[in-house]
Amino acid sequence: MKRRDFLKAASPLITLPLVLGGFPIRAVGRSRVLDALWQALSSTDRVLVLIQLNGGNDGINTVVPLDQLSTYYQVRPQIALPESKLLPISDSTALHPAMGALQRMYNDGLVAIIQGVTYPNTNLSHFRSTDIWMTASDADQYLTTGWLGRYLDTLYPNYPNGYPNDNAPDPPAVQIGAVLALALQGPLASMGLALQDPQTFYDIINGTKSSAGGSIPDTRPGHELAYLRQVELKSQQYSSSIKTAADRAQNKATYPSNNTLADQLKIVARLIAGGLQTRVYMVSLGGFDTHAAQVDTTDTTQGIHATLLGRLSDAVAAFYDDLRQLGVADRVVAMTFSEFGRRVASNASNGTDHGTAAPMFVFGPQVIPGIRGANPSLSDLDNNGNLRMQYDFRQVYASILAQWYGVESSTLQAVMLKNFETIPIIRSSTTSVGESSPSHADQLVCSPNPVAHGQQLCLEFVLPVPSEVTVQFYDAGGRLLGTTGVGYLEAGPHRCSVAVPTCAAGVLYCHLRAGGRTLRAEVVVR
Amino acid sequence: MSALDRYTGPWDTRRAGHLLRRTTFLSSKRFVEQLVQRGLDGAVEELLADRPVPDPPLDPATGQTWVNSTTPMQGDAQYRLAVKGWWLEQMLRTDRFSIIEKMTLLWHNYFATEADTIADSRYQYHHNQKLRRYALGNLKELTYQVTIDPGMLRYLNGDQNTAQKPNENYARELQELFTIGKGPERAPGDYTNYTEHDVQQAARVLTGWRVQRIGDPSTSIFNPTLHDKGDKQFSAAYGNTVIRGRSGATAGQEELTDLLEMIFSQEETARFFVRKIYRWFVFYQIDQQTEREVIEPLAVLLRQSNFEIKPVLEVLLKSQHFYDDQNIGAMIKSPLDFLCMLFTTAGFPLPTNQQSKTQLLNALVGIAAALQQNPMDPPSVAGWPAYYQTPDYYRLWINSATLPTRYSVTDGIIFGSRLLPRQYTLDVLAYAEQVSSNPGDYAQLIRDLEQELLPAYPLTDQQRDDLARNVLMAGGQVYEWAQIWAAYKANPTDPSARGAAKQRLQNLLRSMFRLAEFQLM
Repeated sequence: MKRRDFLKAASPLITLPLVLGGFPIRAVGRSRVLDALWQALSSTDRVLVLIQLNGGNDGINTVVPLDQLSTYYQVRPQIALPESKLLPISDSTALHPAMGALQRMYNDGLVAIIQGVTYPNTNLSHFRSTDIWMTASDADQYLTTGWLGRYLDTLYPNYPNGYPNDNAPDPPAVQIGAVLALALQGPLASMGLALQDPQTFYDIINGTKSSAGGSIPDTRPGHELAYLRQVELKSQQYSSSIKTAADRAQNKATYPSNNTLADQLKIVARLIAGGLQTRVYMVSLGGFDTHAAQVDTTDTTQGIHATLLGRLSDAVAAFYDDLRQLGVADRVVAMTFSEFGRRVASNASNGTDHGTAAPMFVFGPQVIPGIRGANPSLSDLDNNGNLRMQYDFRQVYASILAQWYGVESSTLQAVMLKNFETIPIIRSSTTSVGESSPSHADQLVCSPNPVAHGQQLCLEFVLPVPSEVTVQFYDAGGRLLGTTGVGYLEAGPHRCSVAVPTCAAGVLYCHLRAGGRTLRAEVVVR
Repeated sequence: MSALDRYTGPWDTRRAGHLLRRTTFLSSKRFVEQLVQRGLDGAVEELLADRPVPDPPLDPATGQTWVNSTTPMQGDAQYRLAVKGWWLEQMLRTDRFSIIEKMTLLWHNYFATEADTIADSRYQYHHNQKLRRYALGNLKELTYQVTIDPGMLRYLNGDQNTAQKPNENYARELQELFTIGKGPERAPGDYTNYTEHDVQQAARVLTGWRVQRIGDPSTSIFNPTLHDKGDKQFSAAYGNTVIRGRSGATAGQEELTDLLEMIFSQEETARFFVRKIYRWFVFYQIDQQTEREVIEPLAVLLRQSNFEIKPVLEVLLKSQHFYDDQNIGAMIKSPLDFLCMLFTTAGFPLPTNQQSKTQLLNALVGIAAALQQNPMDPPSVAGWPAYYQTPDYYRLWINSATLPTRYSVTDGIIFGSRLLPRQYTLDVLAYAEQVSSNPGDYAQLIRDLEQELLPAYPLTDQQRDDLARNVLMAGGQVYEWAQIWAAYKANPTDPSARGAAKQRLQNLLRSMFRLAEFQLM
């Protein structure tokens, strides 16, 4: 809230891109002062749109590993997609044929894909696993608050008591639909407001004022009554600001018809462009539990899964086209998630059973485009025939919170309940993307990346003062895999080689310890 | 005195009304008074009595039923909707007091299927009738019937489960959701009560069942050639039970019987059922005391009665605990409760004309769906989250999207709306006379309406006063209501006298329906 006050005082008419003294920030270059200001502004204007794919999306047929096609055709005889129809996005990776619009977005640098995301001991129950993703718990841990609820609680302490107010006039989160997700559950109440359509919402809520209530006793029925009154009150309080925002902006892109996800994103675009200061939106697309008839028997590029991925792809592409035309695309990051992926081998019903890891998509002009992690191995599987984990989904959450919302490390740990290694997902405001050598004392560059087993890894870094240097490697679960002493080095730029430790294919974390500092980098091992 | 001892306090409209609302879809003082007269024992006996299953729905085009057709229907979507409407018609029956439809909905929520996925109105109908037929009978028998029911076989891919390519979908949900439930995950794939290995073994037991696309839609068939004939060795969670592999025409029935015997002989299974029943009829929170004093003794009773349901319901519905003040009015109405109770309190009759009836019932199904309880199409195989999702449970029915939708339904009953056919608009003048002993007395009118509409949670004097001053008379003097009512009674056809009384009553009723208390039962 304080940051917002400061900015209101600084300029009542701030719009993005931020203009300072008549110069857009990008034209004058980025100084630390400007960065801090940009960070402060955007932390209140940055929006996250979560797209839930209910039912467990089949990641293997969504992002297909071109480097393992023979295994792919062997383990998925009924449902494998023909190579000629796949949509390549790199030498070794392709998208499902129904995702043409997403392929174009990918080529435009608007998509990051994080491979092999799940959590240790993936629970194969839809309900339990959805709760785990929503609450960001361990597999054996039961939490009653959601990860975004805990984050939003740091910005809207004690919500719903005392809200809305002048500094926080709008709901912290909005869910398009009629069911609020557990992810938005805060310590006292859900941080989310559910609505299906802003105009109807306003009209009904303001139909008439119902009678004031008296005091409520501390009994079970009393607690339920208090809950009902609170929903009623919040609906009244927020209905006009939501309608105002929706009325202020009109969609500029054409959205696909017969696409429920597009219908939801259309509303989200209007609310964002209309100036609603809501930080999180949740939308969803259901039907991914494809035990049977995932593909048509005569043409595997058609069927339930193709229809769903086509809807996802078309809806997200239209959404970003709209946001771009409305001038707010830079403020919006969208991310997909699903409770689990599906079994590597197909079943006899032209479908797939519940599995583990799957890719996540992150969208927006502010993402670092490209693929994080390696293609999942279709042959090196766990005991149940499922993919191995490369990234814990909570690493993705922590990265979004840190890199998009600028959450500081102590708060981050309080929200995520543990320390998770972050993954570079969002463009940093302090470094430009694609730099090949370290220009800052806090950078560690590893090459080649990805690196093969047995190959030497070249590390480049700058020491501000002479220090003893040690290199350590960790896996995604935080286990130490190896330590290499580099020796005592002078201040200045350095380059050295270390051996990659023995490990499964996936992501490694390289920590370079020098004096009291630790530089970190992520390395993909093939 | 313990929680499950027989209730011995006063048997009055508060307690009888509580029993009625929790066991049926009816709400009105006129029903409650009948239950008061029957006494606690008589009321429970009547509610639990066996009833013949209702006649099947009729095809409006032919006046005949289609549910036994041996081939799928052309344009099946309209028939699926018709089955849903037919079920709502059963819920809305006011010619008897019976727990049967609430039990059927309980089992539907428990053994959940989705009509959209089953995609055949005949299976959808027979599945529902099966739930009803066994609703008050034996749980083991009910589970057996559900397992080989064509609708369920299709919904959870049981009809694609073969020895060659087992499909685990049903075997998993049978244990996780339908019988024993998942315990803490002690190790990867070990859910205390069963393991991933047990899921795979149960799937092997269940191989070979097939739905007949052409043929009798009420039964499935067992194809021994698709059945896994090997022995099935279960984990230590089931005492390392081996289910002997069989071949031949009755192999499927025999192995399924063994499987259910194995699962039902685990103590956890009875507890799991009783907790679900408790959350359905009493309250969502089960603390340690409730677990000890209510759940555990009822689970013991369920096992002792060899999984007969009625003895458990009888003890629960007559218990001190059920009539505890903490439990009366503490349940948020589900959308179907809300809708059916609104309909029965308004006293709307069901049309006798088949076409009008279909039109009405379709509209009601649409409203229930908008309120997030589309009957026969729950969001998933776990049923509606209001009965399993911690910490909010019933509260999940109410949010800033569904509460306004409830308002538009009640507003529509008073002012007319596009949601329902025109004749389902309340004649508020007649309603006031029907409900109130003295509608011209504003205080009496509001008290009587409160008893009828808000019986589960009493208003405060301040609320009653506010309703009189700021809603009924909206700025005028409250004593003027007597004159307005008298003027209307003296000349009921005079448009201005009639309009004055009608408009004030409409405002009063709209506000009362919008009170948070109206959502409680």
